Formats: sequence, C-alpha cells, structure tokens
Amino acid sequence: MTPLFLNTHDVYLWTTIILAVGLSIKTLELWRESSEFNPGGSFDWQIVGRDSMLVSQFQGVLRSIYSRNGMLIIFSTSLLSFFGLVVFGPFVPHWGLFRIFFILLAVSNLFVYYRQGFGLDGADQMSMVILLTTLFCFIPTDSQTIHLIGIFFITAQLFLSYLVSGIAKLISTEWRSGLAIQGILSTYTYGTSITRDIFTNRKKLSQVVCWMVIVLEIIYPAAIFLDIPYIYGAVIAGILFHVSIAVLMGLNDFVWGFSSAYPSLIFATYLI
Amino acid sequence: MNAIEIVYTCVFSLWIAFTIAWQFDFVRKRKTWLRKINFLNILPIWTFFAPKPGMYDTHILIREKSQDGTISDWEEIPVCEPRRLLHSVWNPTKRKNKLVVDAISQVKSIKNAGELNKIPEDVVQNQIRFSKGYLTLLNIVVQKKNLFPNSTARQFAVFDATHISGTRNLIPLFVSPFHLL
Repeated sequence: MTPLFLNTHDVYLWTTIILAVGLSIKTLELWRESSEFNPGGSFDWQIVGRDSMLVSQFQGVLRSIYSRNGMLIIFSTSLLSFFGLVVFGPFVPHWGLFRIFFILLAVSNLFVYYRQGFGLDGADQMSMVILLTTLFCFIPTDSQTIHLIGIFFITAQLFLSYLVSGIAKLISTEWRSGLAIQGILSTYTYGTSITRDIFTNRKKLSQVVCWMVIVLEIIYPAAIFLDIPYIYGAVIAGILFHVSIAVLMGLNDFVWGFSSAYPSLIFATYLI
Repeated sequence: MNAIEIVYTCVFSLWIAFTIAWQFDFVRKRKTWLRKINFLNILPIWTFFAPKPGMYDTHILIREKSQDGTISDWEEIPVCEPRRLLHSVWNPTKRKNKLVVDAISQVKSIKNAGELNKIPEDVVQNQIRFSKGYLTLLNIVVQKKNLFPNSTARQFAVFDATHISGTRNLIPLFVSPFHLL
C-alpha cells in the first residue's frame, strides 16, 4: 500500500491545511460574535484580560490589538492566510509563500488564543500545540531531524491527550457508573432532546458507552504499533469519535483540532 | 545530531515532561515554578470532562430594585442556545457558554478554598468580588436591559441544574449583592 505521506513536508502540509480549516471556522464563528469584543461585551478585554493587564508591560498596545477593530484585523489575517495556504500548498506548491502564510495563520491565531483565557477548550489547546510546533520545527528549517522531532512531539501530545483523558475517566466514579454520559447528555448545553430520551432512563446503555470511551482513549496510543493498512483504521476510528462528539455535544472544533494531529501519527507509525 | 537539533530535542522533551506533570491537580496548585514556566499557557490539560464531568446547565437570574425600593421578580438571562444539528459544524455561541462555565468555576473554587481553609466569610466574599470570574459574570449581567424604567440596582443569582433522572434539579450556587446601575 502506498504511504499517504511521502515525506515530512507532506505531513506538515496536510497538518496545516486541516488545522487551517478548523481555525477558519472558529474565526468565522468569532467574527459573528464580534460585538462581544466591544467594551461591555462578554469578551470585553478589560475584564477577560484582567490578569494579563495586571502583569503586562504593554497594556495600551494590547488594548488596541484586542479591541473589536483589532480583532477584526486579526480575523481577516487568519482567513487570508487560510486561502494562501490552500493555494500555495496543494494547488500551486510554493514553500516560500506557504511558510509566510503559515506564520500569518499562527500569529493571528495565537493572538486569539491569548485573548481568551476563560472559554478555551481542548481543541484550542491542541491547535496551539500544533501551531507552535509547526512554527518552530517546520517553518524555519529544512532539517529532517527537526521536522521529525515536531512530528513525534505532536504524536506524543495526541496520545497523551487520549491517555490522560481515559485515565481521568477510569478513576471517576461518575464515568465508571455511566452517570457521566447520562449527566452530560441530559443537559441543554451539550445534549439534545434525542440524547435526553435515549440516556435518561437507560443506565446500562450509559455505562456501556462510558466504558467504550474509557477503553478507546486508554488503548489508542497502542496505535503506534499498528502496520500501515491498520493505522488508517485507527485514524478513521479517531475521526469518527470526534465527529460523534461534534454531533452529540456540538463540540465542532475538536474534529479539526485533533484530526490535524493525525498526519503526524500516520507518519510516526511508518517510521516505527 | 548537531547542536541545534540537540537543543530542539531537549526543549520538546521537556515540553512533554512538563505537560505530563501539568495533568495533576496538585502540581497545578502547588508547583509555582511550573506555573511560572507556563506563563504563556503552553501546557495543555487533557482531562476533558473528567474526573468530574460537567453534568450541569448554568442558569443566571437577575432582579432589580427601583428608585422607590420595589424589587422585581427574578428573570433569567439565557446562557446557552438550544442545541441543533448544525452545531456539529457551526457553533458560534459555545464560547460564551464556556466563558460563563469557566467564570462560575473560578468563583466556586474561591468559595470552596475559603471554606476549606476556614477563611472569614467577608474576606472570601471580597476575593470573589474582585476575581476575574465574578467580574466576567457581572459584565454579562449588566449588559441586559433594565427590567424597570427607573432601576437603580441589579442583583444576580447563579444556579446549576441537572436533568439526570428526567426532572430538573436546581442547585443554588451564589447570590450577588445589589450592584448600582
């Protein structure tokens, strides 16, 4: 079977494209809610950036950057870089321009990441890890060794995310008893009327689903030892897991944030 | 390996090692040197909905005092949008909801730490009122239009609600004092 990624450049190319799709959706979502960045809005920088304001030497600059207008410029830069990456990545390959657009994507989204503080989720964290790793391990160098350090690092963070999450669930009585799925999917925040109907009075089903999640997350790192055709099965299972979370709980950004780590997993598997 | 590659190996190995350490609650609370290293928030927490899953909906209620001292009924400020299938690809309001959940979580942790360490109630209340979490909630609360044309002050209350058994179970978390408008 022909490997999906022939070299480290391919890995970083597809990591970046997948991540950029997710970050563009996030950017458009934030754009739609951009009035919340105004003074008095829910994401007013004077409030959400309170900790930063206290320690920062650059309060005035940050206040301008993190105003609504500043955020709209950051969002525009992020969206522009997405188009640049798509054009100069797979369609009209040009690594120089690709790198420039990646720097724009990374810088604009790191500004967004550091503005939030409250309201960040696991997908934001995974995106930050991948942006910084690509920024330092791929953009400034053609060293294969440094590219591989980045690829193994992303794979390690992906495995760690599943393993830690699985172990944290395993030690939780709510997860072992099935109460966690019942509780989460019975809320109006994460659940729907369908999930409430399905899980409210079905304790056994909830327990089975909880244990499936625990086992999947704990054994997932073993995927590194799979042969080439089977690793694709593990990747599809991982993506379906995140898609199911998006459908059931509305956590859409996990699909893109975590899927963008899969090219690294696949390539690491080739090497092992 | 050249010198730069060795530096990269060390830096990224340390990043992984610190990430592993950061997953432990006691490390995050007690290891101030690691908190200093993490001043750029580069150490993720991968515990997602565990060990204590978020099984609650959050409800914020407000009421107002008018010039003549009349107090209104409680009115709810919607925090989360009803879930739709579209949210699996497009969910712009989820961040505001997460903001509220994180803000409440900070207020709860200050309150719990106060109880645990037997800190006087008035000191804890002051800590809460100057916390980012409380100010975030207050900021959301004051956005709402007045309930009375001549309102002078507004108070808010925060509740968690579970629906595990199919019935709504409300758990009061805290009630603010009246804040002048």
